[in-house]
Amino acid sequence: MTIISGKDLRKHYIAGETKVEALKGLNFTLDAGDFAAFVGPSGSGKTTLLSLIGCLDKPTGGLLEVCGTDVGKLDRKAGARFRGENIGFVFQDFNLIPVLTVYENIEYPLMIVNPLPEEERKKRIMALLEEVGMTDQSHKYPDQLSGGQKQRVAVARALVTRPKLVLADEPTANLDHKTAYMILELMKKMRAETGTTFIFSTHDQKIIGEAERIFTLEDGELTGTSRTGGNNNA
Amino acid sequence: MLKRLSVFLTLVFMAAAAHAIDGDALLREVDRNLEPPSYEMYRKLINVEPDGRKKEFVLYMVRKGNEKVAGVFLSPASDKGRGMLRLGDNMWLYIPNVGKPIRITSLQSATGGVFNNADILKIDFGAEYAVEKMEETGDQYLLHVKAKNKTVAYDRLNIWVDKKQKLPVKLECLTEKGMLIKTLYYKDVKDFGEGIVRPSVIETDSPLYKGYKSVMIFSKIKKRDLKDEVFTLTFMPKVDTLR
Amino acid sequence: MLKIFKMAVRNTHRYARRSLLIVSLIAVGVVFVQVYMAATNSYKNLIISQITDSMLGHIQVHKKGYLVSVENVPLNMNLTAEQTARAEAILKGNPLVESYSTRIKLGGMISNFAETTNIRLAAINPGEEFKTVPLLPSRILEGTSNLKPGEALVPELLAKGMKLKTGDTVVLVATNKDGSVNGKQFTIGGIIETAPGPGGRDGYILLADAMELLRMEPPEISEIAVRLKDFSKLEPAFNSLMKAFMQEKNKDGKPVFEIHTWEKLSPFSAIAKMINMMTLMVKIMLVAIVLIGIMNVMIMSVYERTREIGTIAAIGTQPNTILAMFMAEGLCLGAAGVIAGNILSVAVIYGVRLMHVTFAFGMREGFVLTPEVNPVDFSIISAIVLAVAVLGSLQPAWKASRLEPVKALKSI
Repeated sequence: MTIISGKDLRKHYIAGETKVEALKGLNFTLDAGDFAAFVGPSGSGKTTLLSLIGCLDKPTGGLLEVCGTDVGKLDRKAGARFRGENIGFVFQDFNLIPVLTVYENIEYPLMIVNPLPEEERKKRIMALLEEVGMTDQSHKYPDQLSGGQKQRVAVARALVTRPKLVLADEPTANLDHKTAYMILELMKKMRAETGTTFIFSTHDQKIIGEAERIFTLEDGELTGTSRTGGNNNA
Repeated sequence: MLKRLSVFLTLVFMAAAAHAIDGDALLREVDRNLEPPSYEMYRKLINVEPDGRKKEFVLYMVRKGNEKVAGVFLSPASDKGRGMLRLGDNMWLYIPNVGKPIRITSLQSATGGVFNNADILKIDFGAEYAVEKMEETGDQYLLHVKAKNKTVAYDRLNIWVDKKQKLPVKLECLTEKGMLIKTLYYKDVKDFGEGIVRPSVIETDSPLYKGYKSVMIFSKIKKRDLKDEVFTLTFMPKVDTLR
Repeated sequence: MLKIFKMAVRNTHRYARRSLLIVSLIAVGVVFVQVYMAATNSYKNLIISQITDSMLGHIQVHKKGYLVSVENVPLNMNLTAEQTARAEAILKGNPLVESYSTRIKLGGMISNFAETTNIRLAAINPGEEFKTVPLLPSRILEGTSNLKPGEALVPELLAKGMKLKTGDTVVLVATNKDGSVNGKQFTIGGIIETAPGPGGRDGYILLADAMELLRMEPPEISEIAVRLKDFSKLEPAFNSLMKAFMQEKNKDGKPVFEIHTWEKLSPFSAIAKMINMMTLMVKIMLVAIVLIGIMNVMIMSVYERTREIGTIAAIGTQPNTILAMFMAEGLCLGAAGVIAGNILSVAVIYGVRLMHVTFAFGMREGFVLTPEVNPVDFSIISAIVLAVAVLGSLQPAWKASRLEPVKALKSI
């Protein structure tokens, strides 16, 4: 089932007096349950593409449908609601809320974004803590955790609302290789258990190998897509 | 040149001196023309208010020289028996209800209206004032007089005197700085007998009491010698018996 | 909602020193305003009650035109017996009136036989008068407030000047309405202290004695002093009395009476107004401090947490929720400042009371300043500070809620 569909997708910015074309008419689809990577050098547009898919920004041309919704038509409030219901985010810099504990960070979306009653909440959070292996650290604050631990919490937070789609922008950039693999394995495991689609952007070649679908971007254009069970020479 | 100047100056001084002497002499004449030094007299005082209402008092007065003056109200009934006494600079008021005289000042008024105690218990001008300057304007002399001491009611007077009759026509009472307190107008010269020919009516008004007017009408003035004991505090309730 | 506040409190702790500073600033401002208000209210109320309770009364009624010539103590501007009766009927019929007292005001002379000087007198009915002006007896320095016929209360300054003491005989001389002069002997029943303001140097005699002295037949009244049950209801009481009195008209269709509150009768009301104005300025200053302080702190907070804001927006937090989060922070800072400030204020106010600060007014000394903790004033100031704290965080919170997640996430 197609979960994301882009048709002649365009995005430009005005930087001072110049118009920068970040995406120059992309055409692609992704299916539910995909474990995909957007790869390309800096400035290739992968972060921009991820932002559009994540409804954090709007296309300036073409059509982008996510989970069946034309995201170009969402206003600020509707966009926030859509994101809260359908999308989870994992960031390069983890972006945990400093004043909340591990437990509370994971709890946040279920309190503020998509409220659930306490019993239900607790069950879900404890299960996720178990999954990401942070049960013992649940009372700690982000500044007491290592990078890997923070990212694990971030993954749990991204999944707690059971979104259809998780977007991760360079999720392993600030982690050592061992931890990076660990995070990727975790995401794969969650994909297997929940059927959530995972898309991450990276320019780390070693990580790319873990993806099952690879979209190559260069200068705002999609120069290649491939399916792979393992390595890729793109 | 110097000789001419000194002669001129001497003449000027003499003329001034002559005038000064004339001024005080004139004042003395005016005093004698107005009243003999010892007399008894009947007067009516009328106070007129701005709305036209009138209040009349009848007063009987006796005087001996410049040191002793006494008076008593004869009417209206509400004021009958009220007495006043002047001895030198001191004045007293006697109210029958009260029974004992109280000491008052010359500026306070025993009757209300524009006349005050000094006006009612008047003595010779010359006893209280000295002439500072004298002018001549047509058929009148104008005397500028100043009080001899601080206890006198008014610090300065301007007196217009008729040249022929040597009687006052108009009198202004002023403060030391020359502010007008009240003006007296002498009218209706009458012959009261025994050589007393003088104005029988004095009208008064004051810029300090706008709209109010007071009138004094003299009806009888007779020379009379009186004993000293008449002018004492104990005699005040009995002044009426002299009539 | 609770979560938002929990986060807000934790966020204020995050920048502990900054938060402490702004909370202290607000607390200091609150202390200043609360203590100032308590002190000035105590001052004002002491003086006003001196004026109204020891001399003027809360409200006075006269014949129309009296007040303009009040300095002359005019006898031709008195109320007739019939007019007085009508006035009394109106006063008796008004439920807000506690009591009233009729007076004759006159000018005359007082003499100890050797010396005579001017005096202003108020003729009263002691029973009525002391009910209406309850502090009057406390002004009596020697002698008795129980005035008997033929007795007079003489003002202190005059008594000193003429060397009079209780029991001495004096003469009071007055010019009657028709111009005649009357006098009467009186015994000095007591010496009365000067009060601040007009009428503060009056001597007192009984109404009956005044009517005899002034040969008033039929009897007349110069003024009626009125005391209200509740002084805080001065304005509504005055309005209702004014309406009733203005209905009374004479043959020409013009009003018979005029009625004034103590404010129109005493120059102190101008001072009281000035004090109120200064209190207002102090409150405005407090508002400015809180507004600018909170705004400053919140602007910095939002700026520093731009990426965090982007994050929570990205994961689906509604703009209004973000707005609420930051306003809650501002409110928490304001609340902390208010609570600290109020506690300190109470301490300072009680401290001032213990110090027994005294001040003088007019000719009197030894007024003791007794500031009170007034719950209404405290609540109003607290509410104002909280409202301003919310207002001050509004703009920064609004900007936070309007941040574009994409741009916010890119920031450091």
